[in-house]
Amino acid sequence: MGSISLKKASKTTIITVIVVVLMISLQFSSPTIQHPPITGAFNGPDSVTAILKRACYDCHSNETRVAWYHKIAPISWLVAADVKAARSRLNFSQWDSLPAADQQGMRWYIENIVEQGRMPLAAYTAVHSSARISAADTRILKNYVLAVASPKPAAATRAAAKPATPGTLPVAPNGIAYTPDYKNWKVISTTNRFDNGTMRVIYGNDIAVKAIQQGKIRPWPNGAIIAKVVWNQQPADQDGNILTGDFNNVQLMFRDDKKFKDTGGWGYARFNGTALAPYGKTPMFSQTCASCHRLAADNGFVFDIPTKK
Amino acid sequence: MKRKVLSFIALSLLAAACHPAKQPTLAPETIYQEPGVSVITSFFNNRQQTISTLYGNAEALKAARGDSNMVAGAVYRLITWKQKGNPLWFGGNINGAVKTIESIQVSGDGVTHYALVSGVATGAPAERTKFVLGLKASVFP
Repeated sequence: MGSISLKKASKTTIITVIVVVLMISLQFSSPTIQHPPITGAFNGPDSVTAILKRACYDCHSNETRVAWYHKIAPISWLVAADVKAARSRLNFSQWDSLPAADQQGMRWYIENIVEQGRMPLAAYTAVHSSARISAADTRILKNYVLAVASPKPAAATRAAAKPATPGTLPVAPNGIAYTPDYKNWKVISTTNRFDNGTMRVIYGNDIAVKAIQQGKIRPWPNGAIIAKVVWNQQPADQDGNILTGDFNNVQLMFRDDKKFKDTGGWGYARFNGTALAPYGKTPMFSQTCASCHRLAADNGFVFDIPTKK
Repeated sequence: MKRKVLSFIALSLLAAACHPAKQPTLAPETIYQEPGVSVITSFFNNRQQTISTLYGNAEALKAARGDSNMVAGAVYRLITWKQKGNPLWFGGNINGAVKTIESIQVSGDGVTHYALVSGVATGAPAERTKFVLGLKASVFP
C-alpha cells in the first residue's frame, strides 16, 4: 500500500514538475506586443473615435492596452497572434496610409461588421466588457458614415452603348476568365448603393437560379455562377428617376468548393472599365473579396439575392 | 481573474468554431423569367422607393441602343419592384416584391400597344409608353 501511494505521489510530483518547467520555459519564448509609432491616426468626430478606441484599438491599432495576463504564455501567443492579424487587416494608427477611396469603403465595412455583431469578437468582449458596442453606439457610427458619404454622381450622359467586341477574354490573377454569357442568364436582383454611388444588375446562371428556387444556398451547389454588372449613377431627373451612367465593372463569383477552398468555396473576379481590366495583381486579391463577403455568410456569402425580409 | 482567463480561452475557441446560422427566407418569385428578352437598362427612384429593370427582345435592344425608338416588332417589359434596404449591407438597397409589370409592343405600322400586366397603374398609357421608349440602353462591355 505504502509503496503504491508513494508511486502515485511521485508520479503526480513528476507531472507537476514537468508542467511547471514547461510553463516557465514557455515564458522565455512568450511574445511581447510591440507599440510602433502612430504614423497617421484615424481622424473622425470625438464621439466616433471614442467608440473605436474603446472597442477596436486594442487589436486594430498600435495603442494596444496590455494587461498582466496577456503576458503569460500560452495566452500571450493567442493575444499576440490576434493583434498581429488584426493590425495587418486594419490599423487605425496607420489610417492615413489607406487611399481615400479605401478609407471610405472601410468606414462602411466597419459600420456593417459592427452592426452584424461580428466585431468586436465575442471572446474579446466577454473579457473586456467596456468594449461592447451598444445600440446607441451603432447609431452614432451609422450617422457618421452617412454624413461622410459623398458618392459623386456620374455625368448626366453616358458613352454610347456598344455591343461587346469579341477577342481574347481577360483573365483574373486567380485564373477566372471574363465571360459575356451572363447576358443570357436570369436577373436575380437589381440593386443600388448609397455608400458609393453605383447601381447594379445581378445575374445567376441556371444552377444559381435553381439553388435560389430550392432554397439550397448553404452551401451553394458547385457550378453556380453569379455575375454583377455595375454602373455609376446619374443625377436624379425631375421625377426622381436615377438612371445608369458610365459602365463601372463586372464582378463574377464561381462556386467550386474544392478549387476555391481558400476563399470559402467561391472564386472571385472583377473586371474594370469597358476595357475589362482584371482587378488584383496576385491571386491574393480574392482574399479581400472573401473577407468582405463573410458579412453575407447567412446567404452563403452572396450579398444580393432576393429575400422576404 | 482565473475565471476571466478561462472564459477568454473558451470563448475564443467557441467564436472560432461557429457563428450563429440564420438563413433568410428566399423570395424566388421576385425573379422575372421570360424567354427571349434581355436587360436593356435599370433605374431606381428614392421618392417612390422603387427599383426597375427594363427588358426587351432583340428589336427593342437595338432600338434602345440607337437613336430611333420606334422599331417594328420591339417588345418591352418594365418590371418595377419595391425598394428595400439590403438586409446584409447598410449602404445598399435591393429590390423587394414585384409592384408592377408593364408591357409595350411596337407593331409594324409604328403603333404602340401598352398593357399593365400586373399591379396598379402609375400613369396614363401614353405617358408610360413615352417614358419607356425614351429609355436608352445601359452600357454593357
